[in-house]
Amino acid sequence: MVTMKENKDGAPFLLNKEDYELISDIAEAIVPSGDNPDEEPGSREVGTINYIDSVLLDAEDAEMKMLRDVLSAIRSETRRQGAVDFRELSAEKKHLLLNGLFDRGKTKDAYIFLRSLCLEGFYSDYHDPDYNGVTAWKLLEFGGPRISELDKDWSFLRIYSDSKEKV
Amino acid sequence: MSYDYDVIVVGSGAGGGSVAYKLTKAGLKVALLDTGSAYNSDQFNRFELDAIRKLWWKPQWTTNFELNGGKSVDEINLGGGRVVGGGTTIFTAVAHRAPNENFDDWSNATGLKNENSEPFSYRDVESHYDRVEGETGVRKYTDWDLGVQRLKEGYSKLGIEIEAVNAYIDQNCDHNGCIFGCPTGSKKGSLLSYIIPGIYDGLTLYQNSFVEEVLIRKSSSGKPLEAYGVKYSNNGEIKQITAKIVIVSAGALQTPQLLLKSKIRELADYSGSSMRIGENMAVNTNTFVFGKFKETLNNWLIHPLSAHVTEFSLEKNGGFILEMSEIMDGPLGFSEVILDNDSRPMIGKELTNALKHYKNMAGVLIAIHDHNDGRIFIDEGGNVKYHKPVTGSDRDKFSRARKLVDEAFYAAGAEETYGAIYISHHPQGTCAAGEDRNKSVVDSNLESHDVGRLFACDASVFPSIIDANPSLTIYAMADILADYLAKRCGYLKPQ
Ligand SMILES: Cc1cc2nc3c(=O)[nH]c(=O)nc-3n(C[C@H](O)[C@H](O)[C@H](O)COP(=O)(O)OP(=O)(O)OC[C@H]3O[C@@H](n4cnc5c(N)ncnc54)[C@H](O)[C@@H]3O)c2cc1C
Repeated sequence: MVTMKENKDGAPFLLNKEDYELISDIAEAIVPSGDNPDEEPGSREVGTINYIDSVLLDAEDAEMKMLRDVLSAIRSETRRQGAVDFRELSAEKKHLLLNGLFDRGKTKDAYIFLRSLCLEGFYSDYHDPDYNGVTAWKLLEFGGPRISELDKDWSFLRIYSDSKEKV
Repeated sequence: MSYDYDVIVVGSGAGGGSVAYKLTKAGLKVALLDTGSAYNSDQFNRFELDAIRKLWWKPQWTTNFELNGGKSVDEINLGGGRVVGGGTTIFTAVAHRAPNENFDDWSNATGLKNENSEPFSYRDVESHYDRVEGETGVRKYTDWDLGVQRLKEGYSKLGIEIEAVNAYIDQNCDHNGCIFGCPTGSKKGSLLSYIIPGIYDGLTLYQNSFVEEVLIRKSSSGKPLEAYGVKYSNNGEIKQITAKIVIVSAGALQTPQLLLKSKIRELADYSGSSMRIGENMAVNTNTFVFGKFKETLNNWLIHPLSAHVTEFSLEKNGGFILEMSEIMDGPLGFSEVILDNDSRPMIGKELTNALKHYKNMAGVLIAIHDHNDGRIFIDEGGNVKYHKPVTGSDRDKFSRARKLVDEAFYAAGAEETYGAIYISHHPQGTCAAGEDRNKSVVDSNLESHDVGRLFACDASVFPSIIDANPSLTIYAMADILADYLAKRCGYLKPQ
């Protein structure tokens, strides 16, 4: 489960609480968990949002602007659909809303950027330091020589360098 | 004036790495600068995300929505290497010559000439291809994986033969992830074939050094302007080095940006040739078709592109090449490119279901003969923009190729096929070479029409699109330039 480590804004590193929650919901819509999340985890189980919150610490200004733009487009589209929160929309409506961002020239790049972050935070095999369950590579049986035994160095992510310091 | 070096080369990819080595071998004092870092083979591994962060430029997209009334259709993802060795550190190592016809197109496009002032033709490049193939150890790559074997069966039911590709790969290949850097050193990119041997011979490599500007001044002899060095940033510090000549080999996307930032247009009073900087871009637009089989293929344990179909490659025969089997070497890349049935990036359950079958997928890369109708420019806000229309004729080529690939997949026993985004790893033509100053940026010796002592040597100099993977032709053009500079060019003769 995503654990919200408390800092002054309520999210671990960079994002404020509202953005952290919204991106977390978007990540779940993009990489959802299966019926049995222990066996088929999605972005929620591995903590994709914490990857995103960490990696954004190194984002360029232009990337942060894209992120703000796409979040604001998602919020206004959510309201246009009569909901207060993206989370309230049905899976189908979330899907349509996200696809709509791709179709529009003005939001496309920003949407692709956000989608990439969500995919990175799952299909790279990312998991929060304290998560011991199944991760993407195991789920997909992505393995073989030089893959299965790989010791991935996540220390470029603040969430990992912080957790090492604690150790 | 005394100079720090005889030659400065900016960019260490196919063009820059090889020309720097050859000029060093010729006894010249050469500096090679690259914004990326240098890695040993044992530092490359299958941690896809980390490799992408360290070795690749951040992805750029063409922004055709401005051409399409605000709707985002047919935009192309442009990727390349930001690492010592450039694209050749992360390439799939297919080593093919361009067909004769392409060189006739070159001389027709811009008036490109050979050293005897005759129209440039295949004959002028042939001996250089021979030499470069020897230097880089090109061989036929016949170790086919299951995905290719299945596809071979499918194609042969359609009466199409697939052939092994030529590749810069020796026998030590252990089939592990070309596009994240080769962990065994069996893949011979510019780093192993040229840069490391060059360093042993005295080549100076400046890694992590981003060239901000080519230094240009007025000249009293020859052309009114001349290059004399570069300004670069390294670890946040701005530094400068000088040389008798500067060769820009920053790749077809970056070379025009560097020339524009160096204010060649303004200094050359908006000459015809300076207005061609960044124009004329072709990208050999690619896409993929993935086929899902029942059996487990583990197609990531392969050399990604080991076979091809070339009978449709020339424009008159269809205008596309098929290469296989490629599933992006890792699940992250695969998830990034796969499209749903409405041609949108896949998300949700559909995505997670498709990825569950990653182990059952094989893939075919379709590369089309597109046209030199794209451009790179810097907008009023200082942002770099890439325009490249995907034309009706491009789309026709893709749909003919897709139909054929689908048929081959189904004939081979695939259960389902999936499309992918448009991608290009083969940009070219953005500083074309030729004699016609209104159609080219550099002359037939690859020297700037406007600025003396300034040369370009990378995929940007191709006058028109070629129907083959570009690196071998870039190496061959670099070989021609090295011969010219070392043997015939006045700038480097001892004073
Ligand atoms: C994934 C992938 C697979 C490919 N597969 C094949 C293949 O199988 N066969 C084939 O023939 N081709 C392939 N290619 C294409 C091939 O790699 C390129 O065509 C080739 O490397 C281009 O050479 P170049 O010299 O033009 O530029 P590049 O190789 O792009 O080199 C340019 C270098 O300049 C550096 N640079 C850029 N700007 C600056 C600056 N301002 N200051 C300092 N340094 C700078 C970059 O870091 C880079 O190292 C592939 C490319 C990719 C990305």
